[in-house]
Amino acid sequence: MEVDKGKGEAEETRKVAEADRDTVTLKSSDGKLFEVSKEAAARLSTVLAGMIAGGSIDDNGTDLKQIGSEALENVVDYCNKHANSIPSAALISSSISFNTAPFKEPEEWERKFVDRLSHDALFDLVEAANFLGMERLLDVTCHKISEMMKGKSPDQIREVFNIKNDYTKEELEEIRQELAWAFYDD
Amino acid sequence: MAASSSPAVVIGTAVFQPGPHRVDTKHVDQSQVPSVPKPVMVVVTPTDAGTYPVAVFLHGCNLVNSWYESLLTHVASHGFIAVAPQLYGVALNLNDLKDIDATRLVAAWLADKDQGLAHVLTDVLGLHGVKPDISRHTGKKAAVAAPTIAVRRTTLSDLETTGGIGMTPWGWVGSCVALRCGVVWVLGGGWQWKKPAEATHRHQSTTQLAAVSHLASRRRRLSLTDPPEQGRASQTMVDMPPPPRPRASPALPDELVEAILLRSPPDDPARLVHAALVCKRWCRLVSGRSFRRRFRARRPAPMLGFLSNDAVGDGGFSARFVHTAASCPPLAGRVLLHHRAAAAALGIRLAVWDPLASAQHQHMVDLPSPVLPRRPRSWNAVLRNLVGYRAGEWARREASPEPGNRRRRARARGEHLLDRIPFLSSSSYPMYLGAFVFRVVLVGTDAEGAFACVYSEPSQQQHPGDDLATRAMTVLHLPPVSHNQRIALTATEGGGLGFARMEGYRLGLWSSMDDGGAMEWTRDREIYLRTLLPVIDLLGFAHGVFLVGTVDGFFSVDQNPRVVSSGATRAAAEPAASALSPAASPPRPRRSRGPEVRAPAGMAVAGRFSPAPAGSHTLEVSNGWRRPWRRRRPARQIQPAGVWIRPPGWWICGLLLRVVDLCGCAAVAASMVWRRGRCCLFPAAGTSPRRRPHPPFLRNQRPALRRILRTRAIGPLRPWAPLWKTVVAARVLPSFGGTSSSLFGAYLSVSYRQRLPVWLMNVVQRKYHARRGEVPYLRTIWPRLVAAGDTASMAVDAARVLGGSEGELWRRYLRRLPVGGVIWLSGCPST
Repeated sequence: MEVDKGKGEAEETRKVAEADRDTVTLKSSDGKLFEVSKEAAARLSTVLAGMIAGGSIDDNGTDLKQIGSEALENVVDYCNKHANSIPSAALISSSISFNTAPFKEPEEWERKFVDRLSHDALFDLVEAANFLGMERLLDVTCHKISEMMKGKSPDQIREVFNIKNDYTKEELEEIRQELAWAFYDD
Repeated sequence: MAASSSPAVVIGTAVFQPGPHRVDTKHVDQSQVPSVPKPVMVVVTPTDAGTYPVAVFLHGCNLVNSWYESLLTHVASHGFIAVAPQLYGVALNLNDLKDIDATRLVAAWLADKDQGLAHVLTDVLGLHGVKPDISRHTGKKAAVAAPTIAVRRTTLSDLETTGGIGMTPWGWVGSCVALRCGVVWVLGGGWQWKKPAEATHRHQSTTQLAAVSHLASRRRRLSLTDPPEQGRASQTMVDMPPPPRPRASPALPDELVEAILLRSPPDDPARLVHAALVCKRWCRLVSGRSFRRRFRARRPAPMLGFLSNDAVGDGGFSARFVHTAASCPPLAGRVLLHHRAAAAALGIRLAVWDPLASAQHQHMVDLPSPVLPRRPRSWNAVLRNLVGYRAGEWARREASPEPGNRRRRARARGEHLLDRIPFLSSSSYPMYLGAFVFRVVLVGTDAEGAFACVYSEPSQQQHPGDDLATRAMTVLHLPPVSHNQRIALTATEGGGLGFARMEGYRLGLWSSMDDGGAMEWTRDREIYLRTLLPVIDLLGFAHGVFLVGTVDGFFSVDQNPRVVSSGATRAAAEPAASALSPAASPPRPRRSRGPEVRAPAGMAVAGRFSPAPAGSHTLEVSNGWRRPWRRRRPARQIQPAGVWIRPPGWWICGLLLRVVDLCGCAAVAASMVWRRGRCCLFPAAGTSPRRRPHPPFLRNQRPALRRILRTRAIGPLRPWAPLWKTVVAARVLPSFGGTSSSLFGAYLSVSYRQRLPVWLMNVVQRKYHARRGEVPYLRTIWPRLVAAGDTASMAVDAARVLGGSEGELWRRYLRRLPVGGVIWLSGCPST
């Protein structure tokens, strides 16, 4: 660090020092700040990696307007936990061949991580993961939501996702007869 | 929170018994809101001096806190300070949103530093030691007090080990009975809301809940989580959450819905159907092309069930179908059975069996026995389904009132309608019940040569007895070959039958002339291989490509390539289906085009290349659909079209040969090798005809398809498998119907004394494998002991059948749901 080359240089140096910081500050839609390790953020989120590489990380908190504080906290939680867990080879390979690789089952701690989330938090987290391009987290949360659909009738699924039914009764009845095999249990 | 000198908190283990502490009930009546019923807050404290955790109790909708006094007393007697604020007024406050708001207000009040719970406990009630920072927000989870807390006795038992337990309708309110209760477990230390799997009891609505929960005619989701509860005395901060942000309907974008549905397991196809019935948008999504492609690409084909041979009595067998998946769509599949008893005598008796037929339909069709002059040394039979949408159309046409005329006209033209239906790749088109047309091809060798038999079944369900003439096995006699000489059946360009065999270093190509019943064989041409490859064995033929074996590995040898004009393509498409169907009067082979072997009919005959000591000379016939192709390669003499390199140290245990419709453009064959209990599948990308232009990613990579493909082990075999003894069959089976995904399966059966452990593997050919040079991977190994030689040979195409008639758009969408699967076939055709 050569400090005696004028103010511009000093500024430069400070910036470099900032860039060398190993955490990234993220700001949720409601203004809360969260810190996450730069390495984990860059490894887990394609969007953050791009921002870090592109230098658009704000020291005072990178604005993530689409993500609420709850969801962002979960994201940060996940990043921290992930940084602590041993990166498995399976995980790395899954991120490489994301498009065609078969889904990796969530690991135990990931399962626990999503299990404790409330319904809303889970949905928020899915959206946040999608927004941040966190493929593994998206994998885990989507897996969880898919598990929630297990054994549910269309009515119940509609409730989970808060979707309005746009089939008419006759249509549904007809389909039920046609696809009777899928409704054997009720 | 409340504190004094003695540090211990006594929590008895008998939670249903009154605790050891004497308690004192205090009512707080000061309220600035006049309408709230009194008492405003009930506080029950142990009278003994000590440090106690505070349990905040939030009552249910439309109820009064003092009604819970006995419960609070009970709780407090176990060493808690039970605080039960009145949440809101009783009077007709039936709006759940108002309840939430009121609860939020109370929660905020509780957290208030000056006026809140701390103030009440210390100033009003004179308890000491309450930390003043009760209101501090730590930015942790939002905890919105639920309007309904019904602490049940069962949940009390958890009090010993956790900081607090609430029973709350977590989830949402959808309709009047949709309130569901869950036990929410709050750990004292972390202030994180937990819902432990083992402690989560989902209850249907308690009566209390049901009474008040007709609130929601509005379909509004409520953010209900847990009530704040206290932890241990040392952690007495009440962590009040910010008010919940009103959550709009979670209209997930399509990509997220797709991502979620992609995760549904393929062996529960009903889940996809349910998802499709949620709304039409989802239906479109699930049945869309991109979803199907991704679903199939990322999820291996499920095993829907398997066919097994069960021993019955003395030497008798009965086959049955065993479901293994959670749900199973109706499958239109047939199984070719071999009567074992008859095999002891001279003849070969085959039957086609529909394992899933309903009671009123015919289950089994006995095939006429082929009249063979000599006892076969080895034989193999394959059932081909002539399936596909066009087959369904054809069946409907046939079922129309005037089928006879049409058929007569067709016959007058010298062709049968059946033959116009190409050998559709069953993995590419849906199949419909009732339109099942099949063809059986039997190939074998006897002491003097090889023979082939063909049986065509022209829709006998619609017209029983109509076409008895075709209900006979037609025996084609091949010119004499030594019984252990490798031959490969081929299809000539005109659709006729041909064969190839190695004659020294020459690959001799023969074709048949059907002259009024007498079959003549002519040797058309030869391919001189000596300068090209040191070929020691001829393995098979598929789609114009010969597979030859050398010391170094397998090679595929293309025929001399010639540019075929598009006009010729159409011409060649006509007789496509008549290959191997002399029973139905095939058109004469066109000789004008020379002896070039490039038949549009997809027919593959693979000679076994297996170390099986006896009876190894079996032939496998499989038909795939070959699209008429357009070839733009410059003419060259002979070009190796694909090479398999056997890794050193691995032994070849079987050859799988099937032309897979890979994006409609690539032929894939594979070989299996093994070493020390591990099995490896080698794909080889050959050339294949195509009608459509290449997909963009293949357009420039076409040559790469012919290069050496990487190999990869596909999975371990059971170590006790005596693989080195005899590997009698390894075959690629078509697996999926309904999508254009190129999926295929393989099974490997291993002979072990009198029994056959059969390994069934589900190998998925991912659609874009070829581009990346990757190998299908093994999904299931299904060891199954079956009796040797019982079931003859089988090919069941598991296909989905979703309704027949044309409907509205969404019904057509429904039909495209990727709910197919694989039926595994056990048994071995080898003698």
